[in-house]
Amino acid sequence: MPRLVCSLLLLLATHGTLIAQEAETTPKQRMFEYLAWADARYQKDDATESDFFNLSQVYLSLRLRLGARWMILSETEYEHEPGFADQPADDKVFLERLFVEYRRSATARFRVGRVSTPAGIWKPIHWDITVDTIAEPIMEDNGYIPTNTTGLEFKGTRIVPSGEWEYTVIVGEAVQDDDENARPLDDAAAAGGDLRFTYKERHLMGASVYGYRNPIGFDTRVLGFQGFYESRFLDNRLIFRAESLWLDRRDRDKDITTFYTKLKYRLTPKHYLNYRYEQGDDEESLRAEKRRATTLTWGYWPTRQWRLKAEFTTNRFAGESGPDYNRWSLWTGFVFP
Amino acid sequence: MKSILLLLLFLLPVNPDAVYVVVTAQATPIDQLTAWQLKQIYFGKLDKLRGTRLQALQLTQDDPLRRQFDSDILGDQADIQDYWLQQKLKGDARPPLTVRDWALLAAYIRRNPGYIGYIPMKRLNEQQGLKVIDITMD
Repeated sequence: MPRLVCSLLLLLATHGTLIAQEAETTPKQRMFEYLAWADARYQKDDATESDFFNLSQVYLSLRLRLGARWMILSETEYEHEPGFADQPADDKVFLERLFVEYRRSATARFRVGRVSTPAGIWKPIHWDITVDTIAEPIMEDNGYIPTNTTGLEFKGTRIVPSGEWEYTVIVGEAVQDDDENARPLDDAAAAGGDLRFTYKERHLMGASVYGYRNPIGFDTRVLGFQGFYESRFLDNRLIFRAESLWLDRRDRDKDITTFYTKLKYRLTPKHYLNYRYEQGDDEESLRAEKRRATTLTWGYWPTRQWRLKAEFTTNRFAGESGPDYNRWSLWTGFVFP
Repeated sequence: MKSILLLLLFLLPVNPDAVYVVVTAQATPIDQLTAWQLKQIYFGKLDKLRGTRLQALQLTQDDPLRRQFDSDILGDQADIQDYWLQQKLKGDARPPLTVRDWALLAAYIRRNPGYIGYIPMKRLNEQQGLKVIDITMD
């Protein structure tokens, strides 16, 4: 896979078109673009006294634009899992996304292939280089709604005087998250939709629904409902957000509920503090019943390309699920170009 | 409130090289935009208005005119960078076309109805075939 990706990159680079600076009739669009980022993480838990440091991920996103309306995008990830006790370190390369896009206009576009599942606020921007924290929320850590779906997606927007409506529908197959905790999925027919409204650029509210039927095991039927809200104040310096998920599982007695709320304050254009409180069922990740977590993150973007985060998380469990623990984390990421 | 802001605009020290006007070709059937509409055009979210395809043009990042325009219309640099990084990763990025200098930008606009950009206000009288778009605050 890495050789294939490198070969493709070399081939496209030799045929790529750069922005035209000559006095032609129209300036030229870039035909080929790439975006890459890499990160490293250090983490220490006080329950087990374990810690690790590793080069976590390297992402490569390639985009080929064919005219004004067509585009092909691929996203490949290299991930390194550190070794623990009796488990050896593991290196993986996998295809995160690959799709063809037809863009009818800025307000209507189709995608066919493997795409990000359109649900909520966090999932569409789930990369470590773009989110405000190091630890994922419980709902994302457990992958209750898969990160990606393979199929056909349509997204439309409608601009009105007070803001903007966005609506997305998708049909296809749910893709199993590349995570040892992820539930196995195979030929899991899936469909979903997302509707959101942004009022005066400051207030976002919406809801998503996503269901899939997984024939493995007990023919699992899962239907998830997600509600979300975000408000921005003080010229975007202060952000409040809340997301909640309710998962109806037909083969289990117990449904899943989880939510998080966060408050982010930008101290300076380069520094911010982010506080998150969350609560919910944590079945896949930590095999726990209700987990409550509070996360305090300090973020620093020294340059446009380089990012740093430092974080402290407390984790408290209901019943006998497991020992409470705290975690310190440090993270750094770099974006190319 | 608007009058106070306008008064402040005249009283505050302004870099004369960073005073701009938003322009388009004479043939473009758009004479007025709100600041919000202009922002949506530059963020790639609005590409058609009154039956006309729109395309935003911008100068290079180090140009003082661009820095002033971005600050006035698009917002804080940190927000802009965050926005484009997310858009690129999502595959939704449709940034404005970047041109090396305002004269070339004006030439492209003149030849392409629907193209929108900004040039130094003091150079406006030198440019034939362009008209100013009136930008109203929301």
